[in-house]
Amino acid sequence: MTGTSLAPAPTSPLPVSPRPRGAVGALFRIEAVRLLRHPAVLTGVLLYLALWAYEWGSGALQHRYPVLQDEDRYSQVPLLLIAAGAFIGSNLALTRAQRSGVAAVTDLLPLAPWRRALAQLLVPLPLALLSGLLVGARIAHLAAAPGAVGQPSPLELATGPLVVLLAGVAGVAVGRLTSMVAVGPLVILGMAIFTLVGAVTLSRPMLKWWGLVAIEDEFEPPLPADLMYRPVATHLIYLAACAVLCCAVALAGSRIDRRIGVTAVGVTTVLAVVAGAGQSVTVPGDVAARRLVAEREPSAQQVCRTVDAVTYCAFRDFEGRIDQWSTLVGGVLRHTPSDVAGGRYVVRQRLLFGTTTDSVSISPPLAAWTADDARAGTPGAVPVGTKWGTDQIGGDAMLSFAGHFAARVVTGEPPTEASALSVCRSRAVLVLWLAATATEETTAALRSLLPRTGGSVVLPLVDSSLALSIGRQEVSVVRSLLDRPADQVGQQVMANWAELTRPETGTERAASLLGTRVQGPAAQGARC
Amino acid sequence: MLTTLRALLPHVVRSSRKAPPVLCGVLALGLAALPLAVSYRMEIPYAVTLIRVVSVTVALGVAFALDDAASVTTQVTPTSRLLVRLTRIALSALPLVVVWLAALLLCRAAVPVDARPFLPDGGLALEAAALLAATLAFAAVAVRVSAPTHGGLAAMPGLLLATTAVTLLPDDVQPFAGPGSTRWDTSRWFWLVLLVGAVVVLGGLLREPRHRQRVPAVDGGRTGG
Repeated sequence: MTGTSLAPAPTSPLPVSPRPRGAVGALFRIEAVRLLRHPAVLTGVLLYLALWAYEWGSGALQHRYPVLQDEDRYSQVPLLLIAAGAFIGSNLALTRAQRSGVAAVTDLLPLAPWRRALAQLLVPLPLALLSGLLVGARIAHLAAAPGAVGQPSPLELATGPLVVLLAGVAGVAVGRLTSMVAVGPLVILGMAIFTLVGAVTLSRPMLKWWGLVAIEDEFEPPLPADLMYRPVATHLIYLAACAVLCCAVALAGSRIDRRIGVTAVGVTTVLAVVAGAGQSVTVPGDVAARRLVAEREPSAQQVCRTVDAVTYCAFRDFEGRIDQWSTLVGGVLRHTPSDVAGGRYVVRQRLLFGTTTDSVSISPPLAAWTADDARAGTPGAVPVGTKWGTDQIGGDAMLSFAGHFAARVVTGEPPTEASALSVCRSRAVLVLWLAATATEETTAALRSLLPRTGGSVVLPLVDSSLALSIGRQEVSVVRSLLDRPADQVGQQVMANWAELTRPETGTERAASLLGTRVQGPAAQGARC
Repeated sequence: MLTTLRALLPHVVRSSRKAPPVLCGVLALGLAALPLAVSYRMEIPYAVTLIRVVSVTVALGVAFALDDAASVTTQVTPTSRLLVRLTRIALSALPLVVVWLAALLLCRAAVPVDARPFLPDGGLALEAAALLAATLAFAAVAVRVSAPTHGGLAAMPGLLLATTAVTLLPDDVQPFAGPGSTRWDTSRWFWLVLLVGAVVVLGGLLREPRHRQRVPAVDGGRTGG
């Protein structure tokens, strides 16, 4: 060790290795295994698996109802853990010689520096392949869930592993530029901040596409795959161009001809900037046209299935959702008299665009929907959105659908402004109770909603301004009913159905018919 | 004690890495000053997120505090290892605490006046303290089990990976709870437990390992006889 730092730089040209390719391959193999075993990479992979196992173990996965054309994109963010590990691992591998004080000796190695750099640049490939396997296993696991619908996009699935590869080569490039170990984590911090900024600046959607992964607004309802628009292909090209740029930087720093190095870095920078600017967030005309048709007259694009005399129509990607809808509808109809339960009901999936982009909720195109239903021979269909799940957003959507279906049963009319306004007093109690007892999940959804609303309940129709509004007094009656066995209350409901569904029956009367009492005064200035 | 400290200080300054804390401090202040620089009026959730990013940046700055290449040679000096290491920690942590407070004031100034009382300073300070202590504890573990210069090498990536993993946890157990959310108060327990745990680990590891500890007093009778 003594005197290594005093060793003069070699003055004669490097001796040519007899089998440079074999040496590059050998270096690649050793370093690739070392990277896979690096503590940072192992930690990243273990944390990735731990998050997955937690989700699995806590039972959250069983009730998630995954939409695979969204899950493909969600697979990218957890992979950032492995990407961070790849960056740190390959960066530390580059600075290893410097840290061990043998940097000067490496000048004596027979393999040319650029060939060593080349081997280092190939090192993250096996890790990227491993990430690809993890993503594949994850999406297969989700697709096997009973409530999974839709189809994943292979390009979205490829983005995560490509980010891991990019992080690995970026670690090499940064390691070539500086041997300071503190710089690597700070670069990661910078990328994390950029990803965060991209995720919160929804008003400027282009910004996030300059980062590694583009996160979408999670309040946006899922869409059928053919109505989605994300510049995924150009983003992959952009990421690949960034990876090539990192390769050029790493090779340029490896004592190759200066002119070649500068040209390579210049050309790849231009390539990355052009590819980055090529990611357009403007929705193309044909997608916009398809969305308009899907919003106003979707019947031609949908498949219909009849389960227990109720017809369900869904977009093809959401056909599997019909099973969950029929379970919920069956739960609502269970507590209704047989002549009501045997009625002709139709449920049709609806999309409404622009509900989250504008802060004001928009009114649904009821006239267009009615005309579409008439054309398809399914008049009076109850709309249901694409959101579904047991989390806050999905639970609210589930409860809203249950409420509007119950209102359809109780009022005998399809959802309109007038029919929504007629759900008052006794009807409101009945509708909310039917909705809440439809399934265990809707009961949980109501219990999770109440603390957030201060006692009253508003159930919007597919996130539109048309909503069932149920006052505090009626909600308190339903709460006390939920404490009793549903079948017991259900018998009272069926016995008193005619009086309970009459619009003029009051809340107190409904409460006494169902064997409970009204608590608290009626809300002042209430609509009913 | 004070005399020892005064004698110790120049050497500790000389043997400490200055670049990481300076880089992180500058970065933290730069980030916190950004909203003011572009005169952006921040809402509370954004301000809280920014302060959290600043807290992580500041915590990264102390990752190298315990790295001491000379520690092998100073085992035999009469000064206690605990005192030397506490001095090292204070040297990089105290300026960074000041940076954090300044960053908090900068973020506060970017929040509209009427919303400022709703900024949960105390809870955020707890998060920052826990992150700082956890980083130091991580570095102390690395210094003990690996090499005297491997503290920052392990603690910096460790903190980043752990923070990223924590942000990916589901909402119902998320320690970075939203300000004003129903989970804010319960999520503070996570940080309190982390802070106490990290301080306990740190307290246990800063001393010289038991097997290397010096014999406290020489028995006069035995040496004499």
